[in-house]
Amino acid sequence: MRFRRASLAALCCAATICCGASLAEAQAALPSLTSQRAATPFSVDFTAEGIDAATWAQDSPTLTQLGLSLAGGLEYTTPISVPIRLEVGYIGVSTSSIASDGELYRAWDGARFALLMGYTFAPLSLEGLGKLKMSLLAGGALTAAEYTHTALAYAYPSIVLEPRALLALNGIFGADSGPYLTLPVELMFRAGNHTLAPGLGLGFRYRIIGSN
Amino acid sequence: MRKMNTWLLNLGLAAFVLAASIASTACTQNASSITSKRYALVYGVSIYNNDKGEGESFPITVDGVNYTSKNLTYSDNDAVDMTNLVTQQGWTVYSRVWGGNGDSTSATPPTKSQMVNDLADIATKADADSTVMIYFSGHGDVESGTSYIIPYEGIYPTTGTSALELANCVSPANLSSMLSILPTKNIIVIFDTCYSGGFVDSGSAIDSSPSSYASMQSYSAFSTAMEKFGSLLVANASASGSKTPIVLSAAGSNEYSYDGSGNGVFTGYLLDAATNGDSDSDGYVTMTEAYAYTAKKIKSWDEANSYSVYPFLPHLSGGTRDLVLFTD
Repeated sequence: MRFRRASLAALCCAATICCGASLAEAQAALPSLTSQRAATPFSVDFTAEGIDAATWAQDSPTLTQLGLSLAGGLEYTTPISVPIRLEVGYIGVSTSSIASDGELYRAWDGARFALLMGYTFAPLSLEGLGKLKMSLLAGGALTAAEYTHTALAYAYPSIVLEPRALLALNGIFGADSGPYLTLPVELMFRAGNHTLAPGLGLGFRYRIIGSN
Repeated sequence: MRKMNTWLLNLGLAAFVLAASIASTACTQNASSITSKRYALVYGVSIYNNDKGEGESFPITVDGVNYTSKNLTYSDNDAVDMTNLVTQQGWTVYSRVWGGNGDSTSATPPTKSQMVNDLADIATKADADSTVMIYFSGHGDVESGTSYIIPYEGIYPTTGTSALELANCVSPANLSSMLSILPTKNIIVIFDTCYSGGFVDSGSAIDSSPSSYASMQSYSAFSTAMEKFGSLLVANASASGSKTPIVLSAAGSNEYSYDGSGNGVFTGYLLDAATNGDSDSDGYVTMTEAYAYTAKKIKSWDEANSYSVYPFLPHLSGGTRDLVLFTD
């Protein structure tokens, strides 16, 4: 019981921050659930993410911008635990805070397309609950955007680093399906300025099952 | 392998923690007030030909061809009202208004040379954190594809049969040269003239609103971004992030703007934006909010008047930066 409580706490309190060191010792204590049908290497997911971004430019202040991202993903996992992920979504970021000289950064919103690759680590067993699967993804994104409430269109590239922890619950959804927590960091290169956007996302992944 | 897993995971976590701490600690909080100095050069010209009153026509030659122009009715009101508004908001104002009915606010008319002098004076007082605004309401023109604003004496001489005197008008290149002496990057330009969209630089963005809205066609920034994704990415890659002025124009580069009722249509809504344009209710009306408010109002005005005038739309320059224009 104590172990279960500790496992849940580790998940809820940004499991990825706490369990990195313990992951090396993790043993798959429970056998994974087997499905009557074979799982394909493909999975789909949906993520909602809050963003707390910082934008800066040369000779301009660093100012915060809050945002929201909604994304759908299609992931292919290779036999060597290397996921390749295609992500399509919406991003909306608010007007920044205002500097004392009256300068600020505009809000923007747009469609974001990302391609990520990474590694899925050996699962950490959560006794009686399921498995915690950690992944680390990295890649690039392209965003077609508008400055919110204007007629101005623009586009920008970005690089992404994305740790994620998926909780595969025993007996529910299947072995590689379940809710996950993600802590992506994105560095955007926007019209000569930079935006560093760490986020906290929650999502659900479903491993596609093939037919018999 | 497990050690490698742990190392990779910790690396990712460290990157996130670092990024989060940068975002949370390096950022400036919302300013409780604008503490920097703010200077406004507010020019308005209704009377170009002193033989005539407000709204009256007079003969003019342009490139040897005879036309009829007319004095404006409300450009002087625009500048007077803008002067009053920004003075109340703590700006140091250089107001030069030339109009009928005793509306002139300065013995010195709002000419191009006076604009140069006033900006030179502001340059001696402003510092790197100051905000400088240049507001002009009056006639505008486009010659050989270049937009001009027409200060007093831009139509010269000021009596009898006048001619368009481009040397006394201000082009985008002239304006850029004038502004280059200012010690600050925080520069606001607002022009309520015909063809003023020629002063708006969209930078690495694309302005999806048409330069001539005469057909009142629909447009969408997001659709434009999707359609021109590749070229926008190329433009973004070459963007320098240079601190160009943030420009708000009453009309597109191929459009007229109009006198309204008491003020120019655009300036009337711009003045209204000071009290009703704060869309996020943070106590500040930014240039983007002022644009959004005036664009929405003028679209409605266009629809209501589409059978009597050519529709027009305001335009806003591109870039990630914005500046506070008004405070609530």
